[in-house]
Amino acid sequence: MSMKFDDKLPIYIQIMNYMKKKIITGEINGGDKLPSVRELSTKLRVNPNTIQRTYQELERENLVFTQRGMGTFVTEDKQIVKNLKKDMASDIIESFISEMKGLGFSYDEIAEVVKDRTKKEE
Amino acid sequence: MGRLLKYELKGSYKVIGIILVILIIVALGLNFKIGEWAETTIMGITSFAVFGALLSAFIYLIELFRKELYEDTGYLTFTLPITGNSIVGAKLLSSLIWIFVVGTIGGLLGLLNAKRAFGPYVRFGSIFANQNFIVAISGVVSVVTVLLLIYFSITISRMTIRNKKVGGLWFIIFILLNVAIAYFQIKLIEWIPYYIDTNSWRIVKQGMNMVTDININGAMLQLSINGNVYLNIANIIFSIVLMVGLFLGTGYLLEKKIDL
Amino acid sequence: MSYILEAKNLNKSYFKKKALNNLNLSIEKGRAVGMLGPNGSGKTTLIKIAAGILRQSSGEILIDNHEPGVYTKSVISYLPDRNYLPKWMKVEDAINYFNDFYGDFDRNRAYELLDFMKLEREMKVTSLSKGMTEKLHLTLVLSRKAKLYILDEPIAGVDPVARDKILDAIINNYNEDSSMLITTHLVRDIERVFDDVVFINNGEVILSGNAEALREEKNKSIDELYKEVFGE
Repeated sequence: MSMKFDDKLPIYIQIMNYMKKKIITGEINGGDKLPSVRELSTKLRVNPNTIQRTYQELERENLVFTQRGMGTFVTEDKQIVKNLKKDMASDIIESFISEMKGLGFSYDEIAEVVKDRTKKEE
Repeated sequence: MGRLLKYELKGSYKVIGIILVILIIVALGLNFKIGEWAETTIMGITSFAVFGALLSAFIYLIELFRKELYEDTGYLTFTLPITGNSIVGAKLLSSLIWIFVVGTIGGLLGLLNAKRAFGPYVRFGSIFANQNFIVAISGVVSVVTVLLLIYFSITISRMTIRNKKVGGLWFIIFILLNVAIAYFQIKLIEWIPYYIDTNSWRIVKQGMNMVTDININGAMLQLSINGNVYLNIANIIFSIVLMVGLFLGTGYLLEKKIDL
Repeated sequence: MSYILEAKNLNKSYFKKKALNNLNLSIEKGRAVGMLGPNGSGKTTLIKIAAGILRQSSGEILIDNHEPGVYTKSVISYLPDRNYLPKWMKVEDAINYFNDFYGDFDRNRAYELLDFMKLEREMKVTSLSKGMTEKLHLTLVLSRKAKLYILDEPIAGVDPVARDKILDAIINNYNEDSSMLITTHLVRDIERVFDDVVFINNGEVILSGNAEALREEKNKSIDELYKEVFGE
């Protein structure tokens, strides 16, 4: 597990995003056990309290749940994961659209460009 | 303190060992020359070698104490959860042990050479004769007091001057203290002229008019009148108080006042 | 709230210089605190006073509610920025020494750390490189179950590989019953280890707070914040 940190953002937020991506892509599956706070703090070379906070925040967002004595597990609720994917995507889309508009593209032009681009990838 | 003593000895035995080896080689070498060279030469060089060994050991041991205060190992020693008195005790005891070792071996080597060189002319007086006993105790008290005085001086000088290039300051303090103590001792026998007669072991008042020999033997004051040795009571008490005071004083300073 | 370390209006003056100027600092149990500042800012002075080898000119400092003395030395594990081991020692001797004097020393942990740091017991202390020396010192200090670990510049002058090992060991050592006070002027590599940071200069606290909160608030890494606070 490697991560590039951009210390401008609070670290716990960066780790959260990193874990969210893994959950969305299925690299970590529903029901999987996440590394313990200690393990992860050692791997990432980060204060354990930071990992603690990460897991707490993830739990607050219902993405993970903690079982005392057993560890922290990813939620098995597929709907939640789907919603997460949608939310993260929509953040990216929002900023993409606003940047394109900043360049002077209209909504139609933006749709056009995206269609062309994605067609090439098929 | 025992733990620290262990490590003090561990840290110093190699150098002491070297000093002893050199001494033994020189002394034994001289021993073989006894037929060839003059007895006085043999004994002269032997004494010189013994004295040199003792002096080297003494200087080395003092340097060890000084280094503790001026160099980085102080960061280790003075952050240990032990009292200042433990530190002084360990340093003092390890120094005394080595001085005793070197002194004893040196003494034996000296006697060895003397016996072979002078043969029947050497006789050993009883160690337990009164006067020799007094001399021995005075000797020990002297060495202890001198060591403590040096430790105290080094500690004081460390507290005052931060610049460690002024390395000789402790010696000046040492000399000054010595002078002050000697002066005080003389005054003391003027004020309290009561003595222990070492023949009768009784307390006696004595004037200075019949004195044939005054001996400020380290920290104790002895008078000899016609070969009879008298010890000043006040001085005996003072010597003890001085030793204890220097010990506790140094311990206190090391624990509470040292700035590294 | 119990503080493992409390400094109140701490002052330290030398002939020419005022090293600490009414410094106030509190460290809670279980926190890793970074004390950041350039050379000569007062970090080492504060640390030496806490460790009991320097006396303050005025003001109060309490460790576990005690003034510096024999007790505080038994609960503080101090890593100075010096070669403080006697030159005659081997690694094994140093381990034995710490074991003899500190009741909270864990020999097994020490051997584990030695392995981790790739240090051999028979090595002479004088034959170690700067990085290896630092790793040995850290091994000794972290093998104690102390209430307060004080590390003075643990990664200064150390090569990147050794530095990573040292950071790993520090993070691994973290536990909620003890606190760590780490001074450094090399912020970038170590800032992720800190719960809280204290910026110090000219013997005073310039800025302090929770590291993550500061990142959020200032939108900067602590390293960048350091440059901003201490830059020209």
